Amino acid sequence: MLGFMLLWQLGTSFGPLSGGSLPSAVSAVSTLGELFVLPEIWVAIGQTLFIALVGLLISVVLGIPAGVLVGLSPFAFRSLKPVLDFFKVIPPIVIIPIVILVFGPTTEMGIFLVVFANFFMLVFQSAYGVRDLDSVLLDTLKCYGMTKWEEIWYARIPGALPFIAVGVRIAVASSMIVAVVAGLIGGAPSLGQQMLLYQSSGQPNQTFAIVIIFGVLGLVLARIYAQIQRKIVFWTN
Amino acid sequence: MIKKISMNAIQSLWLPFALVAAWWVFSANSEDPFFPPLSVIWDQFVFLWVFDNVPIHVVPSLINLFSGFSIGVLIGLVGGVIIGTNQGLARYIEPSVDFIRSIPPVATVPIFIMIFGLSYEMRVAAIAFSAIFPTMLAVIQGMHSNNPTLLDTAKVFRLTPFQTLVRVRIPAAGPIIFSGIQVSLQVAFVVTIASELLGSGFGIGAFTLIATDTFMITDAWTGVILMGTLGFLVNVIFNLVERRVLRWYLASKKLS
Amino acid sequence: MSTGKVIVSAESVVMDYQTPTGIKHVLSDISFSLLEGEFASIVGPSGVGKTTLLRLLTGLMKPTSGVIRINGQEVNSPPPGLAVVLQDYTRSLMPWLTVEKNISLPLKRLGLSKTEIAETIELVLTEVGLSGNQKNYPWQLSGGMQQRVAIARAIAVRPQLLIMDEPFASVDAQTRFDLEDLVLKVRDDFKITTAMVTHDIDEAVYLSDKVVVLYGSPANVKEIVKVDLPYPRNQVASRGREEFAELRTKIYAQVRGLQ
Repeated sequence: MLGFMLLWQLGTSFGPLSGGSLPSAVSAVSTLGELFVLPEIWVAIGQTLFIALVGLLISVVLGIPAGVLVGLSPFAFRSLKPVLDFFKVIPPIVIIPIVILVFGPTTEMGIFLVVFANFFMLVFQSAYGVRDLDSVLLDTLKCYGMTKWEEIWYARIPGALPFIAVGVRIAVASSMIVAVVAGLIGGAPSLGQQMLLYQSSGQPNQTFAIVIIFGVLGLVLARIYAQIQRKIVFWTN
Repeated sequence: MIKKISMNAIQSLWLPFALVAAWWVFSANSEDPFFPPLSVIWDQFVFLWVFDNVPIHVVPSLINLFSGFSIGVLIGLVGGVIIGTNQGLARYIEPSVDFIRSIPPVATVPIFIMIFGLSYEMRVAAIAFSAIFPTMLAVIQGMHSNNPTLLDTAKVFRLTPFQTLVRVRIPAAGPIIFSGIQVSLQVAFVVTIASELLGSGFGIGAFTLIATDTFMITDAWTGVILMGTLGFLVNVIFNLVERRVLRWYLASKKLS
Repeated sequence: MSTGKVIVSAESVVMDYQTPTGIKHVLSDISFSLLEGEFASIVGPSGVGKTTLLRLLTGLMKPTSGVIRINGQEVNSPPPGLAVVLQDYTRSLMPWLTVEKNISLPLKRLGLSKTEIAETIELVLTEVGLSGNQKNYPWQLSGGMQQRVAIARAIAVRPQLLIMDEPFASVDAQTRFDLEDLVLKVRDDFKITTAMVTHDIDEAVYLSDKVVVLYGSPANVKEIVKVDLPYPRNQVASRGREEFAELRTKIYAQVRGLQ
């Protein structure tokens, strides 16, 4: 890590990037320190986290149960799969122009975007997980006379949890990213918007410092979720 | 056999058709400025994008996308192989790579604007930069997950390190690498649009931006639909290529 | 070893599969029966249809023609009183449930009280040598131990019929001998009618009262070999007997198509 920083510092002091607008490592880090005292920054961080987490919560609460229900019905799954396949690969940035028109550059817009980004993927993952019951287990349970409900409650749903956990892990990262996009491009109140302000007003150090903050936030969220996942899906390595 | 294929087709397609039809019908008499009737959108779509504006906007976007994507993936592959096969080097570089990976790719665009200004170089550079990391990380993971038995077998057959790398290690990591490249593609697509929405000039994103700014809502809708469809198509084509290249993997999975 | 009551019977069972390239005839005219308390092994060359026959016995599949009966009732779906032990124990035990939860699940339908269930679990775990492991998870146990849990689960429901599909193929040889002896012990204590598919002819002779040899394409019952080795059987003594060698040679030759 240190080596990279060193390279960066050298590059900006002497190399091809010197004299350009890219701030040197030292100034970026010191600006980081400066920024942390500003209340706006903390507000912006809070706003970004708010958009990300509320959006994540809504998409989880809506997406996972819907996905489980879809997965339990072969007909529903086959019908919905093309629709899900289509929507889950569309990056939310694509719909920003329309969403801005409808919601305006607001927190709600950001939350809607986060939900749009995650919902279809979560439905798909949950449905897929519920369907993917091990045939050996299914045969065993059938022989022992399990009813359909027992099969769903004791086998299909727990068996789907690893898949759902993967989906949520992706959603956690994606929520953060989309919250940033909502701010940066959509103008929603968040750190992303703040960054754009800095950049367009010609404050490279601050702009760069915010990039670092994004990285840190992303890492922290991912780590926290990793701990949560370990508790829920305890039987996987 | 034909019956089975058409049964499957009907089951897969009825819902999308029904949804589009419903949208058409429900919006037919819409007076809401933000949600024009689908028929109007469709007419405008055909008018704009078939095929007059294609060379002006679609082609530049696609060129930027593929140039940036290719450069990024190439660097990612080479870098990933170097880092993945070198324990010592990995320890120095990996933490930094991990950190950069956590940065939302779109957030790097303002940085590139700062360095390059609003130009095509900026866009390709930003796209390439974000495309590097998913591929690089996938390659590193693929190298780490190489089956030791496979490597021992290569040693016994006295393959040179280079041969081992090219003919054993990389193909073995094929599936992982491909899913990394797919993520790179998706990221590249997002950054392409982001770079256009933040900058100016030509491109589908740029077009849509101008349309929204000037309240040409129907035009904006066509832009959104076009971007969405392109995003989907790009993924579909990628999956087809992947399936062809990784035929061996999918077949051997079926056996187990 | 048996009361003489017919528990399982297969009558002229035929099984065909639809494949893209036409109809595949797997089993043709399979007939045999199992008496109460009997232990029968089903052997034959690879791919002959042993597992197919087991799936028919469990009711997971219906025969193309012919009838499978358990206790006189025709079998169209898994009948009550069935227990199974399959080869892949990691996939037949639920990793998100403890050992005791895994065993108690099939017990629910027997209408036992909470204490009775707990006692049953303790009883069967002791029988298989895993007393005290109730709160462990399957993945915390070794392969052999996991298969013992599967066996414990099978005994717990006091089944009419126990079906085993190559139950010891996924454990090492030493563990295999231990588990074979466990099966003999369980047999002694609980007298459960058992049908087991195995590739291991020695194992088939060691454990069974009779060995059903499947052969041919489509497969039919080439012979049903009675195993008269005396009980109690013993890994060293029984396998050392002349009759053991004769039986295994005979069966092996049939499986290889030499007789």
